[in-house]
Amino acid sequence: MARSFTRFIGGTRGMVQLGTALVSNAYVKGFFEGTIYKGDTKAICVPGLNCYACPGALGSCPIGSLQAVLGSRGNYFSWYVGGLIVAFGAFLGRFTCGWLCPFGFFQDLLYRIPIPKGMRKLRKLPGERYLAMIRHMLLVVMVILLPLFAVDFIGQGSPWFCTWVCPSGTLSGLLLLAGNESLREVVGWLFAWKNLILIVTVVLSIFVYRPFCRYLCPLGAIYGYFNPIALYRFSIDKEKCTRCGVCQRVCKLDIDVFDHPNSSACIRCGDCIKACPHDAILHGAQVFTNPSASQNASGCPQ
Amino acid sequence: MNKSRGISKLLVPILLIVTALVAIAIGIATGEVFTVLQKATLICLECIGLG
Repeated sequence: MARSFTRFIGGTRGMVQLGTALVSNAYVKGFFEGTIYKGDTKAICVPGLNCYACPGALGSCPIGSLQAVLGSRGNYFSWYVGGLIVAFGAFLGRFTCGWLCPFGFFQDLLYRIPIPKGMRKLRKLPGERYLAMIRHMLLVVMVILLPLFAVDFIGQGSPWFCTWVCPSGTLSGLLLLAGNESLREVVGWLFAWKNLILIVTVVLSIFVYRPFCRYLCPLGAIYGYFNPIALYRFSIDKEKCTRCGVCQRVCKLDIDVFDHPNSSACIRCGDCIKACPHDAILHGAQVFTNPSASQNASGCPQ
Repeated sequence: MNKSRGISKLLVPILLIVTALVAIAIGIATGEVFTVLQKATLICLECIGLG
């Protein structure tokens, strides 16, 4: 029974994701009363995308907090939130996305939903390369520039990404509204727009692996920059790698791991490590100790 | 030589983590942490789509 649950949830990684989601949303009372937690732990940002408007959230979302600080009057830089994001990134890169992000876990569960006969899961969407650029644009424009410079008459900016895009916030909103009648009364067209984005994300997540992380997530974009230099990174043992392509075939994000082990799209799920028939994908401490370690199997400089 | 390569690979993330810790300390000292707390303890209407 326990084993079948573990398998259903996605093995060890799924259990870690579930545990993280439960711990960071452990304010159970909030779900029943339609309120949010107001304690001091809310000053600490969690590593993954976990909206602080979620009734259970004990911590803060780094992207929401970054916009809140940049948008507040007189602030042009965020030492605290920026420092936390850099620390998480330098430690783990996008390991956070694969193992610790509640919204990533939500998409993982959706991807496990079987699809009708005659339809198939997609490895990527048409124009993947261009779609993947959207997350970088959203980071620069909606998370940084607009909160900084599109300000009202008292110099206060707003969280543009949260307002117009973030489906994690919408999901939190639905949970909050379920238990809060007064909030339900002020629902308007913005809520409808955000629900449309959430519905598209949910439906796409059944067919394509992690569409939000691939195309829209600004936090994933930041952590992706750290993938090649983070303490937790991958490397290819060039003595063992035969470039057979098994790693790319098992990768749900379609990454050519043998050539780009530290691609900014890689969420460190570890499927390629398990599948590699030659044990050629090094990770963790192996990257620093193995003399044949190369971040590029074709011999390009690291 | 391999040992020094391993150490040089570690250098960048460690420097980044140290810099990040200094930045976090500055943020706490300048009261930025209260901006985060203030925002996070009120229901974020923008986040949930109520504007």
